[in-house]
Amino acid sequence: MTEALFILAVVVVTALAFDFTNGFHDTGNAMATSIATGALKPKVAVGLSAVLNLVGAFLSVQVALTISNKVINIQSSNGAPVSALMGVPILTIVFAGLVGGILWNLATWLFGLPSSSSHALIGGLIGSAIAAFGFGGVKWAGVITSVALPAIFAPVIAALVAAVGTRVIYAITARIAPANRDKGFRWGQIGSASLVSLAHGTNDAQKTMGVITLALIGYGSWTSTTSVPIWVKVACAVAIAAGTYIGGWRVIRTLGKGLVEIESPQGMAAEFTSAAAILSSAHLGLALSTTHVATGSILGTGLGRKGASVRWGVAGRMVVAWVITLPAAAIVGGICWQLSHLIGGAAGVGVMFVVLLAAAVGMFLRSRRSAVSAHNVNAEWEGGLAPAETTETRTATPAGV
Amino acid sequence: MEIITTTLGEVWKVALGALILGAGLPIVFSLGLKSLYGSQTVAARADGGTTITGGTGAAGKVGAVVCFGIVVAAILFGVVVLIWGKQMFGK
Repeated sequence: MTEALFILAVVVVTALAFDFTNGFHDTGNAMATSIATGALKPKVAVGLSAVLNLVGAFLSVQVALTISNKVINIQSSNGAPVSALMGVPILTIVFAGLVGGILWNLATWLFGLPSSSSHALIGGLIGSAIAAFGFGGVKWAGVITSVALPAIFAPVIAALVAAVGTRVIYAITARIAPANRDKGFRWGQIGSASLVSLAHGTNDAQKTMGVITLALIGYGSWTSTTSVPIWVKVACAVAIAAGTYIGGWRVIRTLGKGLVEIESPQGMAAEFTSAAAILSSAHLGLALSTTHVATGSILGTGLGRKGASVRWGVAGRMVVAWVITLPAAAIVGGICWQLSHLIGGAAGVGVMFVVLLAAAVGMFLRSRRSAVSAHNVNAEWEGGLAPAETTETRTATPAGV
Repeated sequence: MEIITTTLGEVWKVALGALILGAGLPIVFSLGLKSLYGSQTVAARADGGTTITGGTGAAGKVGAVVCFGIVVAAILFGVVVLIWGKQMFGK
């Protein structure tokens, strides 16, 4: 096995691992509201979302070689790698970027904070490009237009729209019996949340497909910049669906219970807003983060319903996480590239992969100390992510569900 | 500066699309619910529960079907946009 082939294999595995974290980190964007209002049982919700992510991943007919090309200088205008970087250099840069994205996704998941997986990946790539080429390796204009500005506007637009929708639908349905109202809105929730899941599968799995395809082109075993090998498509679809099915319960809990107390009309208003914003932005060429949109929508429903209160402390922590996502992932990506480069070649990438595994296992073990799972995801929010182990939550859902 | 103003131009379109569909569809949906259940009256019982009386007339049912139909059609349109949007809108 040559050095480049070994690194390629590690990059593919790492990219699929990123795709997996992308899945479970974002389950809450679509399903947190349906789980919180009881429209769907937790396991059913993540199962449905997983299937729709899988289907969505196969629906993507275009190739997103653009995610890296928008922000860093390693590709020419048609998306193919710059010829001087072919082989080990570009593979190492992509690998380090993925490590930055994965570690930031895991860290924010540990704290139950919904942060953008795309920003984490972009941040990781920027960091590794800066480490490799200096600040000239980054397309700063692209960072402003595809990352910074959308991050500011996405949550604000979503919050305003969801607040308006929530206010009006409560006014319209004020005199309907709550049982009938909730039964109706639960169906609306399921429909709109499904659309968000499908859109997520299409948009996000595509990003990993693009990264793997870029690596394959960099290695020299694939030449087309407009199509993806079928095994890449299948692997990415399965990875994001599996991640979604595992369910990022910590993030789901923050979104569904922590930010605002959600009723089913609010849940429906939030998911329709998310779906509308994601679909309309994708086709205007302005990529909004699913996470920022979904979080903004949920917050907006809290602003729109009279008597509902938003936990601004929780919202504040989310905003802090969003602001530091890109720089934090960039620092990790940069350090990873530096260390891989210092050790050199296949050995460097191999060592950093082991470091990545160790860090991931460490964070997983840390999460067990205050485990959040399908059985306690809806427990009362008492000042923090960790649910109190009350008898009430135990009896509410049978163990093992 | 130019890249920022161009982006802001896109932001307005997204905001408009999100408002029309994101707030509009839940509103249509809730009008459907009102049409379906609006003629029923709810009375509080002594035991703390509620009693629902009254039925839904034909007009109410038709109104509900129309409203829910619009929402379902919009969701299906969303799926179509998701798959073929780039070809449809040329981006």
